[in-house]
Amino acid sequence: MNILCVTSLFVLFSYGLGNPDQDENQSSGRYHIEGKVSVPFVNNQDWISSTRILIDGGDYIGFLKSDGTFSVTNVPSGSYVVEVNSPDYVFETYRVDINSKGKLRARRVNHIQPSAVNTVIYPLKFKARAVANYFQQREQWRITDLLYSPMVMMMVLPFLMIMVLPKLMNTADPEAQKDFQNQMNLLNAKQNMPELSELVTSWLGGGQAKKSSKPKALKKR
Amino acid sequence: MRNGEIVWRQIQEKSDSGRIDDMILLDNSLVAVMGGGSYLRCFSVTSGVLNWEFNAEVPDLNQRSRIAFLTMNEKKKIIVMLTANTVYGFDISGRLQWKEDLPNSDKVKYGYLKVDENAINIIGVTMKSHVVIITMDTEGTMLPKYSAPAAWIQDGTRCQFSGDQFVCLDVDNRIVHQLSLQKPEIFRSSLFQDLKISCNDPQLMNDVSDGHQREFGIRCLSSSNRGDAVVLRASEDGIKLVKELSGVTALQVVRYGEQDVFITMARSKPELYGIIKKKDNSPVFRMIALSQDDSVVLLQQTGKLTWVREEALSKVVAIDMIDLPVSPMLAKMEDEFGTNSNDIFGMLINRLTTQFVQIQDFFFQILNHFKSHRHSYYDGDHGNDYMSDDDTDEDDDDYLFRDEFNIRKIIILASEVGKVCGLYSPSGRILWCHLLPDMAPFEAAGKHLYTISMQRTTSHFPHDPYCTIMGKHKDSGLGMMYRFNPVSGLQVANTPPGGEVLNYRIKQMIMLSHMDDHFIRPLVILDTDLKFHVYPESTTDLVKSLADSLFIMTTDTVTSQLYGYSMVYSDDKGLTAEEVWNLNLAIESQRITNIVFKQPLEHVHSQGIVLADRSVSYKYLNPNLVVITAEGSDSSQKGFVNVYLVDSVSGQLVFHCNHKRVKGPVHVVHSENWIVYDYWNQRHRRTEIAVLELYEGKKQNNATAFSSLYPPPIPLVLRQAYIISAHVSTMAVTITEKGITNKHLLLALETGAILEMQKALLDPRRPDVPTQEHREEGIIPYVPELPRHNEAVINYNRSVYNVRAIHTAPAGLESHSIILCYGLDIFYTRVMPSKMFDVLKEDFDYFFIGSVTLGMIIVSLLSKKLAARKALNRAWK
Amino acid sequence: MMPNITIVMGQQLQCPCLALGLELDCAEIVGPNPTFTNRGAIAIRSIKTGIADHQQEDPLSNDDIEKLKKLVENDGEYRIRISSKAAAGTRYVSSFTKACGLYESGLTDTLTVHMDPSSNLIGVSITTPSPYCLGLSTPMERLFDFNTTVEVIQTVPGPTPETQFFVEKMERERAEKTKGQQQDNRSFLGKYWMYIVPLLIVVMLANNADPNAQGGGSGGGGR
Repeated sequence: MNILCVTSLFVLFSYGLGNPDQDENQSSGRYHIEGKVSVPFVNNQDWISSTRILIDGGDYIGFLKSDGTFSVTNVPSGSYVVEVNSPDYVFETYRVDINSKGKLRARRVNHIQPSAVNTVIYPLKFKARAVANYFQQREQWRITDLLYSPMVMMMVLPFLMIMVLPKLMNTADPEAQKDFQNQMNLLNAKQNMPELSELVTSWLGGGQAKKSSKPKALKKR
Repeated sequence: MRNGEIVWRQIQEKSDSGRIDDMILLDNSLVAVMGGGSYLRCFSVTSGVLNWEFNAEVPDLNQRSRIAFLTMNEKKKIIVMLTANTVYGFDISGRLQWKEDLPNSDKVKYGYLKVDENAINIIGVTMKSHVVIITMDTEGTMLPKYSAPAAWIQDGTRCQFSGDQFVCLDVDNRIVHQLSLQKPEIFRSSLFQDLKISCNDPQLMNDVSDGHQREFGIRCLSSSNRGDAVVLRASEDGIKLVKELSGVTALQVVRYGEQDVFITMARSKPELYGIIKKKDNSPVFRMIALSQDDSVVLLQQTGKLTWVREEALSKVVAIDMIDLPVSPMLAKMEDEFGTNSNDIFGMLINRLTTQFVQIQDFFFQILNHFKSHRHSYYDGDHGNDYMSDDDTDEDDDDYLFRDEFNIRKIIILASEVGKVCGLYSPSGRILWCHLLPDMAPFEAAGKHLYTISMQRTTSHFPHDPYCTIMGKHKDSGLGMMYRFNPVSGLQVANTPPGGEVLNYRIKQMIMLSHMDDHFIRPLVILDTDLKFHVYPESTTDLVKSLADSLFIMTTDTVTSQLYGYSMVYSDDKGLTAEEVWNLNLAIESQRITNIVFKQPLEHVHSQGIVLADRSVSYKYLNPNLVVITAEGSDSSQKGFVNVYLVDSVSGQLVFHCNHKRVKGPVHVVHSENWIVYDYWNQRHRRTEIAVLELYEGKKQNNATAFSSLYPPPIPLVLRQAYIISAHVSTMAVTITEKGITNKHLLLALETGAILEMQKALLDPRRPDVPTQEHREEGIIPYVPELPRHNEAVINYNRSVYNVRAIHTAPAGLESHSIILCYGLDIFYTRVMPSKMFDVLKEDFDYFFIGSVTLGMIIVSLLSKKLAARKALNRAWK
Repeated sequence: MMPNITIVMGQQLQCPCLALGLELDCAEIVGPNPTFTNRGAIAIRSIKTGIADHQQEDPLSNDDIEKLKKLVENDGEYRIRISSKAAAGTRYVSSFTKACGLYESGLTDTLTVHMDPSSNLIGVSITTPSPYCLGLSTPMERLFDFNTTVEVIQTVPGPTPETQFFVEKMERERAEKTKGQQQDNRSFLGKYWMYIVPLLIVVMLANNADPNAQGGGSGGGGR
């Protein structure tokens, strides 16, 4: 039932807006646009006296009552942009179309595609989205900017590795030094590809290579 | 009440429907009727919040409506509103109680309303015929109406209620007519001779109160007995003279308790529209006076001034700025270089003496620093209060002298009422004000304007600066001129302080850019008989020598024609104008709305733009180019706007284009080689901004000087348009001394915000699909809607409403441009379109950089020592 | 809507279409109230392409040539006026140029006629090929006939915001984004395997080296 109503209304309006000429012929009927403005994150009502509703940039002005509701009367039929003029808060803007029979429809403003319809509930409800922010943050120098930049990372980390790691290893001890040398040799030896191939041939060739490695280990002991 | 500050204000609609006709104060509510009954609004006095609102069905915007309130028997209050054709009754919460149509409202002009506990009386006037009296009771039922013949009633006749009589003053025949409201059948006349009043130009005093008092006052305006006033009482027996007063220019009769008191003011000029506040039981009062020069004053009973508000500043019509003069020390320094004596000894002695004086001044300055407390900055934040009484400005050493960066200026304003004021720009403090009572502004293309011509600036010590304001005489329409020194506000020697009346009407005027030996630029005025006049007269020779190359253009906005004249000098006729070209823009219902030249002070830094392939596209820089916009509507109510670019010397139409189904108001910005204008698109219901840029092409026609008589070929016009989701009141562009800084456009929006937008966003070369060349040149891709960020709003939440225009001026620093918006409020600020590139910013971290540098020096020294020690140790191993 | 046709004297027009005719006058006596004499007529063939013809009424008489020479000596201006007769009355527009430019070029000039969208006459301008006066003198034979080219410029439509292309671009981008998001899910893990595998290899190699060294090291330490 609701869908039916909406579509029938839509048909009515699409006819009304299909010929833009018709909108220009305004009837003498006077209608009113109603709604409510609220600022949800503020407790007091000081903002009411500095806020007003502008229809089409000031052709008709609506003032707010103490509870935030407004009613702009004396508006002939046509299509209007309704915006909240508040110096401190940011509100959304809506477009209200009033056809010659007095039916009102509210939709979102889209200047690039003016005939796009994106309906919004009526009576209008304006909720402040945010406090209006007029200032940009000043750029401040922070130590993290310096430390996290890629150049610094590339320079500082290897530097640390070179300086700090030997200290941990304790190079003064000659045995530790020999071990370190062995480790390096092994690592270098490991890199050689032929070693791998030897391993493979030992698998295929038989157990001789194994026997040779074992006595080595025994000797060391 | 205490200090004249505004507690709240609610700004109504700009059109006629927002014009405030009448107001009453009722308990804690302020009820106002606007626009002939379009709106009846009730606001709460403490907070400014709306309580209720009502619209009359068919308001008559031309006629002022009236309201009054009456208290009925049971203390019930009824608000009665009278519009052109209906009378309404409301209770105090806004509910309509009753409504009655007035008979014959198309022929009779109903304008007078009087209420009391028992009855409502409405009087309507039919010009030159009769007066209709309608009485109603407090419930709204119509009682029989009466009609009294009054063939003497004319358009300007003033009447008012006095007790239970209705009195009218017939100025020409010097008769007071009186009509009794009990038996309103016939007027009784009393001649001035019978009442023993001798007054040549009488005027009925303005009636502000509710008409219960029985006396009324008549003031004499004739020059012979100015200051005379009489108080008369009207009763059933006729009119009686109560008191004669002299030396009074303002009189107000007020009912206080059971008696009537009248309050007079013996001061020149102010006219009393009194809101009287009563205190205690004895008649002690304070009064608020609105004077002819648009200032509101609160006076005590003794005549002492509590505060003054210069409301003339809300109706500013013209503005100009002038640099402050250099301090005498600096002037002496410049003097030493500018001496004419050529011998070495003279110059050496001059130099030594001036430097000795400078050393002396320097020592005194240091001593003063240690003596008095010094304000390092002052808070110029006083909201709308223009008369700041603190003297912090004067403590500043450089008060009224030029500062280092030449940012402080004196702002000269001309207000609609004929008042000229000088403001000090850092704080907005009024330095001087001068009223020219007979001057009225010119009317051009529907706007009021004065012209302020700064003929000599303060840069030429020891000559005083010289400024001229031109307007027309209020009554005769002849030209009027006031020449003065803008720093002090005093008139130039040998000229009358109230302005001089010229004996011709002004058609057009122009200030030349050439200076004579005394550094004055001549002001050339063309009168309606096509003769030129030059002011000051000493520069006439200079103008005669330039006559062959001077052309002037005039526009007739009524017939939509443009005429161009050349100046011709002949010995017998002097300087006369000869028509050399004309353009006919009279099409259908078109009327010319804007005629915009470039700012004459503007300096263009680059002659062309560099394209991606390193070739130069030269700009078409025609100093005589004028942009003319014309708006009209065709037969089916669809508007159109035509834009014409005309060379004002040769009359050549450089470019013309036309927009269909759009309507104004069109605002134009014309600078360098581009034009930006905005309009309202009726078809899509949005505001659009269009930009035109003119280029000569790859070859420059004449690299040294541009001449309109030897013009380059028609330039190439690049154009594009954008959408903006706001309503624009006015537009302007920043201007700097050398033109190197980027240009930003300032748009004043109806929401009270002033938006700053880069010109680069309004570049007609913005492409839909950007290529590599576009990216190299730095052109932003095309998006049809212009961004509107809150961060680009330069006046934050301090909204400026109803901006009439924005004036921009260069400062001494290249990165700064000074902005002054005027309209209902005045807003002054500085903007930096390319950020502040020529001065270190205020929060420059001297400490941090200094400490880091010092730290690095120490570390490097230390590490040098450590490394040396280590090398030594290693060598010893 | 074209105004009434004025009779064009001289040669017949080629095309049978409606033509707009304008009268061209030049100023004879210069001064506050100059009188204009008819110099010729302009017939506009088609406003859209800007083609127009100029027909001169009569060749210049000797008197006129003398007047022109005197004008050149005084460095005066040569004024022209164009009139167009319409239902609402005659419209005049006028313009000027330096007389010496006209004289030195042998009466060669270019007239540009400006018209509004409904073909009303709004302005005219006259230019000569070499505007700078060099002080040459022209022989009499070249001063009889005018060598005029006429251009017609009509008001162009002003710029409008181009929303269509932008809307299409937005639609395209939106479609691509919805498609692209699914792709992204797939390559989420798929992208990272390129970095994970080499890292695993390096870790494996290091582990293989370490156990041997660690074993040796701990053995050495144990003694």
